[in-house]
Amino acid sequence: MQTFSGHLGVLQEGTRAKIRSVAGPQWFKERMYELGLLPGVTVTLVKRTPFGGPIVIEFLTQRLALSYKEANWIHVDVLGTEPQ
Amino acid sequence: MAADIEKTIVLVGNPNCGKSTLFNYMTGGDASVGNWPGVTVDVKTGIWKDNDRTFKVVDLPGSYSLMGTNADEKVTSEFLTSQDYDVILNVIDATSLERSLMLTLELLDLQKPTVVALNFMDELEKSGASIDAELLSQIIGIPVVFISALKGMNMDALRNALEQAKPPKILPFNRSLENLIATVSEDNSLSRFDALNRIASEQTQLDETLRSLDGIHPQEHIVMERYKKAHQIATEVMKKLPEKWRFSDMLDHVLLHPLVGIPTFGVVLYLLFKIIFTVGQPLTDLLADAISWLSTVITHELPSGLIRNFIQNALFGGVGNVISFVPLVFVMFFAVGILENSGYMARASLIMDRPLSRFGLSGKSFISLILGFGCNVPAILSTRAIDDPVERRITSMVIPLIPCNARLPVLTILGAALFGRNALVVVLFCYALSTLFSLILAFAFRNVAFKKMPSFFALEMPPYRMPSMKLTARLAWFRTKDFLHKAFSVVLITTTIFWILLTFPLGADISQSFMARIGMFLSGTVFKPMAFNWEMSSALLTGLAAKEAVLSSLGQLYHASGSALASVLHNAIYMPSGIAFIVFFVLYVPCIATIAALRKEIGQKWTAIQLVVQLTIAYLVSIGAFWLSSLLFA
Repeated sequence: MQTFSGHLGVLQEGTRAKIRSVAGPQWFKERMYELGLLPGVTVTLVKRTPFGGPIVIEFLTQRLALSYKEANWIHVDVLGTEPQ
Repeated sequence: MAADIEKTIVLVGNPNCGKSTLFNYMTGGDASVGNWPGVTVDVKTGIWKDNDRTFKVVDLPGSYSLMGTNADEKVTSEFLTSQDYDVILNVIDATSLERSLMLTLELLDLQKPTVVALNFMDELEKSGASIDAELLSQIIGIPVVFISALKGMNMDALRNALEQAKPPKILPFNRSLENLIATVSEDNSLSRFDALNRIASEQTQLDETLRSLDGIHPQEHIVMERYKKAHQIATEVMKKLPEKWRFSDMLDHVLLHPLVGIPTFGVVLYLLFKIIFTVGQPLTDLLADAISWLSTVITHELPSGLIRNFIQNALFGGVGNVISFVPLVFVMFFAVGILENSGYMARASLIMDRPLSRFGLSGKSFISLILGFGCNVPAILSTRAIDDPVERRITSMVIPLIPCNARLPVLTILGAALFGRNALVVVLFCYALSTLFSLILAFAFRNVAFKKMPSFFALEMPPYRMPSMKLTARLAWFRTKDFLHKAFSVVLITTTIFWILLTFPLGADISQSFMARIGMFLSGTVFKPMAFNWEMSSALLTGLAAKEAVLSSLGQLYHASGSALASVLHNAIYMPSGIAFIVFFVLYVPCIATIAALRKEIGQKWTAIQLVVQLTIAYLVSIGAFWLSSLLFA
């Protein structure tokens, strides 16, 4: 299967992806580490909100809302789409 | 006695995992506390009698790691490596499985019989997830038992597991680390645990092998290995509860819908206000009446004079005024608590995040700002729901600029005095003005004072659930009590000072009081650019005690009230200076109760900065308003 990689913020709802790297300033990386969003972790984009508002992602059975701008500091490899 | 004891059980776990609750349940709270030599950390020992079995139970201090350097962790690891015991009972908070497993993996390296007790499973299930205990037990090779330490649930299964516990099998690290462990333990005839500790503390001479550990510090390498393993295990055993989320997803589909979600949000906000003020306000009024009744009864018994005057005006008038806020504050905390516990608060923050991020705030500060329109005090206290400390501080610092309910009657009368029937326009203008300034101030604080800490929104989204009334009420009461406790002393001191200023020199008319003299002084100096007369200056001073006091002071000074006051003011006040007065009143420093709440939430230094900034804004804008209206109306 052909893989697509890109920023977390641009995924479609229902897309599963694996985190490849976390960019951005140090405080952001540290915060992501605390939250458990590390390279290798699989996340699913659950919900987008209109007008560039935060996105909701699911990982390790928990859901997290993340602002759109910072979500794009997270680079992911797309795995596929979950059945709706 | 000692012969009856079957086994010695040692309780180990992270801080707040419910370990002590379990200990108290087992021993019936009957424990002997012994300080471990050299440090003041408690190691509690008790007897657990279950059916006809008797166990000795040792409760070790809460620890995240056995390699830790703080006193609690040192005591724990020293006990586990040097003392005699039969079985380790590792208590785990199910809601933070991954972090807890880090300690579990360390315990496994001790190679002692170990049992895991999963506590707080009900909490985890409320957040829409569950743990497959059987699978977890298979992976880590030791028994895993669900318990509720609080209710003493599943204690039979726990006792069985403890009685049959055997030393665990080894969960291997990567090959190079395992080789190193084998070499170190063989050469020095050390246990696996001690060998690991020696490697971690770099006491090995095996330079070559060390280099094979990615070239990073061996302790860091070990921690990373454990973290990877803990993460992997957690991913495998944590299961989503689809039935919890199905309903939640359906609700989100509506409540986060671009067209439906935002109007619904407006309705929820309206209801929030409606409830706070239709339930809280009458109760507050009732309490205020009760306090003034009590004041009359008590002062009636006292001989007239200074003491009676003090009790009547300072104690009952000032402190009583703050106490009468209690129902309002409680109802606010309760209503906000319901929103929090139902899961809707997280959605509201999500919706408001984008607009607020332009001003350096995030969605989390929204509810606090909205509550500020009701009363600044509970609004500032509600900022505790914001977990980012910088954002919490900024939000607290801009709330005082939001016009609270107490400012409304003052604005209405002043508006009527200056503009007659257009009073409502004045009121709305003032609301817009102060909201605008609060957002500008937020922007300024974020970009000047807290430049290095950008705003960032990351919020856990729980599934919707039915909030528990009992728990919400208990939390609300706890928060209310906390507020009262802290605000009390500040309010008492200030009301006493105000009472002195208004009462002395004794026997003189109010226009001769210290307060009036300060008002005259202010009118001649700082308020000269706006041409405030001394009555206006004194009234502003009393507004520090409570915003609505400005109205009653003006009434006292002009011997009128209500609409009569409006017409008296209309003739007495020069138009541009009246407009400047309204602007100053809307923007200047908050009342004492708000200052007390601020001081409690953000500390003395930031409260001082806030007051200076807000006063400066009010002053400059007021002068600007005076000049502008002089050009327009004079």
